[in-house]
Amino acid sequence: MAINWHWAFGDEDGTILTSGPGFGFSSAVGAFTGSDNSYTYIGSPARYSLGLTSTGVVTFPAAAFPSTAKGWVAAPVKRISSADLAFSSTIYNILRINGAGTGRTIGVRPGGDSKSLRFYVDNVLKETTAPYDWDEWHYLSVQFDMSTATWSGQLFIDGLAATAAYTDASSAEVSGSIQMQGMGSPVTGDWLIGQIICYDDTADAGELPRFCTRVEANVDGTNVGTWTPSVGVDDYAVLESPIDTSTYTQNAAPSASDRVQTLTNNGGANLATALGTTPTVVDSVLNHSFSGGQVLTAKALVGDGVAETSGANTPIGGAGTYYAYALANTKPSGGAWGSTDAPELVYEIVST
Amino acid sequence: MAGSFYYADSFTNEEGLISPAKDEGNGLEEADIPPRYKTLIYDRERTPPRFVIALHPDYDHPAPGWEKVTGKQVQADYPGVLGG
Repeated sequence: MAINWHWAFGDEDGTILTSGPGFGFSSAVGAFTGSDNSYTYIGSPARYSLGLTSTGVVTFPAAAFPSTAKGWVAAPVKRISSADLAFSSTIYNILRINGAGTGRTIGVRPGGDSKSLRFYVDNVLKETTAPYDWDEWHYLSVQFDMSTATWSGQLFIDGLAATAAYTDASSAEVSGSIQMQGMGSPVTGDWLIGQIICYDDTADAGELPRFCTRVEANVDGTNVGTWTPSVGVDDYAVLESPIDTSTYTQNAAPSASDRVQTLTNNGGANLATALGTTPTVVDSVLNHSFSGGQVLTAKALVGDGVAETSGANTPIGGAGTYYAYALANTKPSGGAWGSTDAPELVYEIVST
Repeated sequence: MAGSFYYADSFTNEEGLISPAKDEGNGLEEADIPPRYKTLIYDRERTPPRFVIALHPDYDHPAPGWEKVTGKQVQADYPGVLGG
């Protein structure tokens, strides 16, 4: 078991994130970039974080909650130092993992003026952490298990245990949701989320800080069927980041097995060049796709030049935008991803 | 275990999260919680429910209304919760 979903934020606001991948927001949010406002490393391509006020709640797409109802949720967070941010002990939650059946939570809240965090399991406060400087990025990781009638949870910060492990008698869950929220003053508090990585097993090393980076295609691959870019002649140029539903490539008469393929290896590019550094380990490659306009079933795939890993068959509606993804935690042809690999990104019609 | 022990009533906020309450004479409210606080046990069976709390020596700042108790009393009321 391993990573089940991850997301690197781009230059996108809540409106496009809602209509594209299916995020949910309780109020308007915006993207932030810049060296102080992104969780980054030397050499990284441009990165963004998501800015939330404390009255803003983001609900991550359903794919974020692991089907095992256990694992990890990990996200770096930071407050904007220029904001007049009063820590509050009222309702604002930094991270909530919610069980659908019980409506109960394993979560993290501000600890008040002390700048510690409160950690809850099954809605019950278990422990508060030591104080932290929230003007700096800190990598929060919550290990959780709602899969049995005895829930368990533990909070880690920057790779280290920030609380003990706790249990609480509850009811087993099979589904749920993951939410994050701003922290502090509802008027001026701005809280940044750098990225999110979700794991589906408590045995995974979800406490270890990892970077999640967007990698874009830079050349077209081999298509099946007729695909027409909305602008220009290149599919990869309109299947770009940030998400923009006004540019796309279109198949006006789709048939089963039609596919559009884009590659990341133009000019000898690979993961090392795309990431701007030579990674010591690549835990996962995920292809996000957004489509609509035809009622059909489609799927996303990730390839490595030899084989492909398919995502789930996903119903696509005629109106709106539908999200499908493919996750490859190892190379489709076998073995771990390496810095010289160049993922291939595919979107394929399954049936019409 | 080093530190001080307290009993406290519970407070459930509008989202259903349960924390120790404080009592400043205006009814129960959610308490400010110091760093390095630990819930030793949340006694749901008791009426009303009660938190059994351990505060770290560096942050021994109980909220109004918390009842300070000894480890011996905690051990008597909740055998085994302190270990040993």
